[in-house]
Amino acid sequence: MAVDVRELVAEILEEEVGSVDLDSDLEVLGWDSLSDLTLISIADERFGVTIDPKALADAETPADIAALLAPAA
Amino acid sequence: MPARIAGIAGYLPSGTLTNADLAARFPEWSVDKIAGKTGIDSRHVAAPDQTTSDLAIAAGLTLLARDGIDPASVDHLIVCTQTADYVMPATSLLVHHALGLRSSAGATDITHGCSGYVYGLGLAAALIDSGQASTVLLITADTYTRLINDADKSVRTLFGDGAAATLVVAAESPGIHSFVYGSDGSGAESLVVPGGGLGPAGRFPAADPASRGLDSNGYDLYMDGTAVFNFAIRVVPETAQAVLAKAGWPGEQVDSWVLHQANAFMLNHLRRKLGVPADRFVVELGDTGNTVSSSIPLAIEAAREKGVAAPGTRSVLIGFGVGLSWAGMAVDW
Repeated sequence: MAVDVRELVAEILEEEVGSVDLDSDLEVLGWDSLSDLTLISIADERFGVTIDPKALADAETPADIAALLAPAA
Repeated sequence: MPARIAGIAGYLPSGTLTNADLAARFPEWSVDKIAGKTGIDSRHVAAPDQTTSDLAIAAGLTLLARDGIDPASVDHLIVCTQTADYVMPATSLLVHHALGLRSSAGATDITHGCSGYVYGLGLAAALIDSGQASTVLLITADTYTRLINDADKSVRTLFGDGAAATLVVAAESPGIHSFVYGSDGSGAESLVVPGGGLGPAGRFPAADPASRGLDSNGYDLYMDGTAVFNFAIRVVPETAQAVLAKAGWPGEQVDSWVLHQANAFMLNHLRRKLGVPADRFVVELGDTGNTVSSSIPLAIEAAREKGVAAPGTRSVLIGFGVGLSWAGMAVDW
């Protein structure tokens, strides 16, 4: 299953997908601790993937998020 | 003898901290967004001159008066709190005295957090089953807001103060049973109060108030929300299955599921993961926030008008949180 991480990040932030690039700065996009929890929930429910909290804390871009979801790809 | 729950009464201090209060304190905060996720609109906050024992005593007196219980009938008092009035003596001794329990009744503190209600009921049931007591009063009480740094909005949004008293009595057939427990101290750093104890400062670097940009209030409760969420996703379904297996119940025969009321976002995720219909899953924290070990009994009381805890029904209770610690059990009401 291929995960379109740009679409996923836009969904979590409730933004248009056009505003998200793979190398966008998550913080600038408005990513916060609630976004972390939403990602963990979606990763578990939709993809059966457990997100490593420490790796998530280090994630800076949608590309980094994609790497965390790699087991679902 | 087996044991059953004979009554529950809650106590919430009159002071409140609303989302509007928090929005005024943190102008950058999105009230609607946070409330939408957490399901929390307001929390109760103990008055400056109120301590945990005050809340515990108020809950206990309410239960004794409402249900006409003779204090002399109580054989053992268990107080579950992580916010003891003093390092010593145990809070249960202060509560025991104020409630007028007899001197031959035992008084025991347990210091669990969000798993504490189930642990407390398990100990109460064991005291009764072993013949050491016929009537046990379990009181959960916490003033967590005292542990939270005023500038830490991530946890101020979640926690509220409160207490609940539960009477556990000997019964002909098991009313509380099928207890399962879990412990994982490797996750202690996920939810910790780094100050105020005798342990060395710096044992939990992520919780250090300076590194979090906080002027310390001496306690500075820290929670790694993502780690706790992952923990809950892992242990709650396992615990649910273990309780059902031990009780011999198919999941669809459970009338109500009452989990620790952490926040609505986490609860709704866990409900979907457990495959439980919304009308059998209690979410009652809008006016209280997360009240730690009191969240389950307060939620049961809040949901009684919806049929939760009605005679003849079945519930599964699951607590999980700081420790990391978790526990589950079955109830035949």
